[in-house]
Amino acid sequence: MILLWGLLQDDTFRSVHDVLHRRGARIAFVNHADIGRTSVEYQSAPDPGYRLRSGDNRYELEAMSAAYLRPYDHRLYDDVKLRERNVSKPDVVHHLLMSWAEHTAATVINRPSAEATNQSKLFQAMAIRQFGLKVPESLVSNDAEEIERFAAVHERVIYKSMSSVRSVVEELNLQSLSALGAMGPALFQQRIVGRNVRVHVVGEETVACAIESDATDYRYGKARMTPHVLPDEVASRCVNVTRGLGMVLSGIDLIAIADDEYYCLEVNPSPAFSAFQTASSRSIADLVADKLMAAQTMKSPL
Amino acid sequence: MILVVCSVVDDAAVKLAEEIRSFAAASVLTCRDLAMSKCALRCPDVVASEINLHGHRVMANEIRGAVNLLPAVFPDELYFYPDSEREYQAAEFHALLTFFLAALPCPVVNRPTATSLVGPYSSRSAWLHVASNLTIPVAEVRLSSEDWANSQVMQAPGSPIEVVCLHGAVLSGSGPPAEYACRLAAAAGVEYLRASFVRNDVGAALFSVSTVPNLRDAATRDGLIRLCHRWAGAQ
Repeated sequence: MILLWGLLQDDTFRSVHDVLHRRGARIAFVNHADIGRTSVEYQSAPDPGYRLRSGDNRYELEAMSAAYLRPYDHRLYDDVKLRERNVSKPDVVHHLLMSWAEHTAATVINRPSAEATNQSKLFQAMAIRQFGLKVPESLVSNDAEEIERFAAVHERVIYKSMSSVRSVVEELNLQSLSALGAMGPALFQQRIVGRNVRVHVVGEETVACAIESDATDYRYGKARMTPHVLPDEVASRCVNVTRGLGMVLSGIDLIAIADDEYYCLEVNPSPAFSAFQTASSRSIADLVADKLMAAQTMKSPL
Repeated sequence: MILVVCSVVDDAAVKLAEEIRSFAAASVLTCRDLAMSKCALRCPDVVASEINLHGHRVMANEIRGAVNLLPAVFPDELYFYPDSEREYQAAEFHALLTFFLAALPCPVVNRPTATSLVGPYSSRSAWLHVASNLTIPVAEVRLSSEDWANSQVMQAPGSPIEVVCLHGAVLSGSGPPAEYACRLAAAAGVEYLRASFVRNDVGAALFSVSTVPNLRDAATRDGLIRLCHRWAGAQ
């Protein structure tokens, strides 16, 4: 059985759900919006075990051969947000399900430790570099003179959050920097000018598209996407970094500055791939479903 | 320079830094220091990074070791930001420290991972899983979203057996629990680990684990001082 935990209103999650449904896979869909009516129980001994209950459905999580998890910030749900902030029942459901997802032998897209690599962009950048992909030079500073020196070396500099929160990218304007006065440490990064390429990796498979946009951050501007062919070496490094970060599925942001020279900006562990699905490329939802169903086949007794 | 990374309200950390200063340069490093003093952290050239500690500029390659007493950055730690900014800034400082302490080329006790500032796991269930995989006996623990408060206060019967490991050596504890704790620390790749065991019919079973050095424990404090001596001697 394949556990699906997310929202059907999310196009990416829905696309995987629909492919699995169409193929007749045995799925356990747990609506993330129902987290207030979901319960999870863990016992450590004699063998570790998790039981999940959602509405009238009860599942032994050990029976799951695979899982596709796209949880949201449950504190934003109407029935949860007014409760006290300390530890709510939905917090515990989330905590215990993530604990299961981290340690189960099932195929999980993606495990929480892999998801977490994106919570510190520079921590992830150091890992990305180990797999042979170039990363832009970055500076974390609250010192205007250091930032000006960095900008003088790189000519064009962007700034963005260090964490995965408020991840909006803006180009630095030195005049506005001096007007800021005292500030906390912020992340400044060499702006790599070239062609934006989004690569989705599912196991050993890569699906790439090029994005044409005039915006500094194409997610917030008009963008046109076309299928893109990666050099074999770059595709191989994308597969390796995905595996190395512990992911089965990733959305990798690259910038091509020449036919065979790419920089890696970020590896997204929970990509909203439906937004990048170009008409002529392979269906990423089908590749994800393949991975989930392959695990089901392996787990089923012959 | 030896860093003691801690909360702004951690007086025990300040005392540890003072004790280390009797034989080596040492300083506490808090989020307030990083926010209020000039810093320049570089990626990927981490060794060219510099921080400012109480008026002294310190290059990353001058840092001989770091004792990390901060399990996470909580919004309340950042009292110098407006209320509405603290949650966001907590995520930012957590990300900053995760990168900086993970990338420092010197020993760090404990080094952060993507999931925690003080090692790979922060939850009890995670440690119980790791122990089970290592065939270390684990206590019967039941955690339930329906009854979380009671799950949390569930205590082991009798007094627990405490074991502390640091840098491959047992600081306190003996017998099978000490051997279990060392195996857990090695498997998790952490320098410091404190494990609590309960007595049961098979001997001892793991109940909980912490990877934040407990400075109220004399053996831990002495062990850290010895380790800092070693780091200082490696200059």
